[in-house]
Amino acid sequence: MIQHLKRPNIASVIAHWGAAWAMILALYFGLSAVYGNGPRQETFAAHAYAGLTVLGLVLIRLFLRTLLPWPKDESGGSRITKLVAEAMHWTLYALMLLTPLTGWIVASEMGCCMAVPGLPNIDRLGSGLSIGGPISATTAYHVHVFFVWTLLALISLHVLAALFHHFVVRDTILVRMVPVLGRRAGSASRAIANSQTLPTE
Amino acid sequence: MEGMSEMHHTMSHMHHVSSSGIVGPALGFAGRLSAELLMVLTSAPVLHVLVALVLLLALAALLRPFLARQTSQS
Repeated sequence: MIQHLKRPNIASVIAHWGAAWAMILALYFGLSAVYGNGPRQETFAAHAYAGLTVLGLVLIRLFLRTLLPWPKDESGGSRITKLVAEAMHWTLYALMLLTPLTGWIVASEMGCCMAVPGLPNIDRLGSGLSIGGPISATTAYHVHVFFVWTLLALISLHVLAALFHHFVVRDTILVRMVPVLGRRAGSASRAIANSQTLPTE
Repeated sequence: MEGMSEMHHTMSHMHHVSSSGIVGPALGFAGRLSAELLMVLTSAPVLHVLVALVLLLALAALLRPFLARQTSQS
């Protein structure tokens, strides 16, 4: 009997929502550090810690996604829709990795005025490897800002797509990432709550 | 000399027309952004982290069959 997985592992679900909250905090502190009137140094440090949390959580998610089985997409839809959804997820992973990384480069290159307590200089990582070239803070900052707005646009589409699946298509895509919804009434919610694992053969 | 001046004037006018539209600045921005993206993606810190990520995922892929065997046995 093969166990047919219906829901991602709980660690991935927690990392997903943890990264979502960390990104909201990173955006809030980032905008406050640039446009706000508060203590710039502390706000910037909070922005950096929130961003590093996102980086750590995305590494954990990628590790778990490779280590553990992942439920198959059962939402139906055309091949192109599935391809777009898959491309969207991997682009989100890439941006969640590269956005904090470019921010870290900026903080490291401008160490004199934007020091974050406890944050090592990124140039010290992998100093034994002689690959890649140097990068200026300005270039990294431009790319960081571009990644942030692209990430925000893609997250908005991601949320809209999840709501569309839940309310219009009425499948279990959103329910499997929101364990609380599985306990509530509703055909899709009940279906997944009652069948965490289903025998298929 | 007069011809040169006239050509310079025409060229300046053409430059003015092309840069006042949306296509010129958009192409300039896209070009600059692409170059900066390439510089960041091939920079040492990003490549170091990507190498570490590949090693981490390779470790996860190696552990996956062992973990699957453990779960099927229990």
